[in-house]
Amino acid sequence: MVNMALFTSTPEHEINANLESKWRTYKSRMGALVGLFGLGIIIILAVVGLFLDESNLASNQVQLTPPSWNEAGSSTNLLGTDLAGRDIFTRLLKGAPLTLGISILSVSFALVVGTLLGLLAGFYRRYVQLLIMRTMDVIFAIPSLILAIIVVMMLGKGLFNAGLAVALVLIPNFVRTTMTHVIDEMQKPYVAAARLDGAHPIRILLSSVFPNIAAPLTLQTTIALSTAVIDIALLGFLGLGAQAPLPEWGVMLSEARTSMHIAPWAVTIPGLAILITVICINFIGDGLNRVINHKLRH
Amino acid sequence: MKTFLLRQLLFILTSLLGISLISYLLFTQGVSESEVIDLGYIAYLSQIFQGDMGVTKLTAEPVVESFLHNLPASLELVTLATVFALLIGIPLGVIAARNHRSVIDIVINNLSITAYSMPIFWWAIILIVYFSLNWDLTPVAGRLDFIYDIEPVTGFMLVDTLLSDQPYRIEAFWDAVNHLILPLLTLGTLPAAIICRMTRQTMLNTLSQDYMKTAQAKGLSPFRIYWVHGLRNALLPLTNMLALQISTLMTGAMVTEYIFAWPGIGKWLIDSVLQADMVSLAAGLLITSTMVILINAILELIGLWLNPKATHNERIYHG
Repeated sequence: MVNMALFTSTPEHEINANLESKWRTYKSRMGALVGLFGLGIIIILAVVGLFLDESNLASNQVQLTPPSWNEAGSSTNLLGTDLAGRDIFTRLLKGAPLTLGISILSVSFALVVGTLLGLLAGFYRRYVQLLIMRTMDVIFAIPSLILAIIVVMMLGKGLFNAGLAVALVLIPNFVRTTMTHVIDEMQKPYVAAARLDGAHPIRILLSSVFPNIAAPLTLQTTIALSTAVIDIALLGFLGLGAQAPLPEWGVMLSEARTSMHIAPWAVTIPGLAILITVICINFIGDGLNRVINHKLRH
Repeated sequence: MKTFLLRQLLFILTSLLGISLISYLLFTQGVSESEVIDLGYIAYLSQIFQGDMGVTKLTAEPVVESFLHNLPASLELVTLATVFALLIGIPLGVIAARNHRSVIDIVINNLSITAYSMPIFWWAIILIVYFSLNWDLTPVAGRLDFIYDIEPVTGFMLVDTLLSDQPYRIEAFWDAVNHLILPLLTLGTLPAAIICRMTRQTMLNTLSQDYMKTAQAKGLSPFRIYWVHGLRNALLPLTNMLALQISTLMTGAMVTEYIFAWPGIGKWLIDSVLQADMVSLAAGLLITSTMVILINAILELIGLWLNPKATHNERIYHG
């Protein structure tokens, strides 16, 4: 007998139960919870940084004060000051919305464009697919840093263009993930049922296929976000992204490099901020991965 | 098999076409306008096939020559870093899988996520600050101390120092090794973490297979079960996954070389970019991307050779 459950859409209470069980799997992993909590705090700090008073940024303080826990440190500068006498903690807070904010923007852009292209490629097959995937393969073959550098060289240096460059680097991953899963889903009976019901292709895509590829896309988004944070900072570090007085974390790192032999904290701290942010994102990704694979095993 | 090879060839050709178009576009940005009018896309291609990719902006040296001059240093670094990553990553992955869900597994898993999250430009600087500046254990940058005068024969410093007939060749060899430690650690960490996670995953899949139970039932030693039967099957999917990491490795090599002033193509490329040298960038794009495409094709063939079943279900789209 044909299993009718395959042909009917899931009732709403089952979806909720499903979400709850997913959350239970997710939080069973310590790191996943810590990551979510950590990223939450970092985002709050970034919002605080956005509205922060800039008076502490002025270079009127003692240069190269060590962090406050050091014997030579002072309590007015929690994480010390840099070569120009600017408070590192304030700069970190002001830099968070730059590094993290542009990363989030660029991932969102890549997510939207990549998913649309992937849906098109998975749905129409043949020529549309060939054209889209060939273009993606070309982008994919270029080492990511070289691709980002080319975009920046064409559009000009700067934080915004660096964000665009990173988005372009990320798009092929979204297209691939979306297309693979769309093709997978399209072969399932519930799509055939919807098609036999005479549903419009767009409707099939949006209400039948899309909800089922949301999980792998979420995972792809976290992976993309961790890449984006590192790449934005890297472009800033190389002098191709955000430019000097901006407290973008990569720029802070490259500025502090000149004084690394006398002030190791000035290079250590901005990098730690990047590392902690990326670790949080990757722990979230690890948890999500577990949820998705957990589903597959049953 | 034939269609697979044909498809692969077509894939390589179309990718190269796309790459060369972008490269041509960059090239036209770099040379003066009169030259562009003289040089259409077809002429540019034929010029490349004759081994001429223009001259560098700063030294007016032929780009190809300058590239080849810098290549051995990069190859040395990347090869050794890959070996380092495999030597660290695979055993850790197997150990984690063998002790699934134990403390060891959790520690290795968390360590690998941390290593995987490392911004390598910062990692390089931290290693320099602590190992070189604070503890004075390793040199800060370069491939060899200036006091040694080593004739380049192969371009690989470790080989050249030993081939040299200078009286201090052994000291020079150890100095070269010393210079390699930090760049290797910097470049190898991320791939080691990725390989460790992949090995753990594929090993876990392998361990649940029936033939592993058969091996146990036959009474084989644990060493044979895990490290011979298990690992060999777990490494099969690894070749395919590794192909995806080549671009990551190249980006990592560029950053590592730049920070350690390692005289390879990565440093050469970033230096040219910082001088807005579009001709060199065009050449760099063309060469590195061609390398990625070819290495991917070769790895795919190796994967096919190891696991012929893959032809039928791997490719999802026509091409």
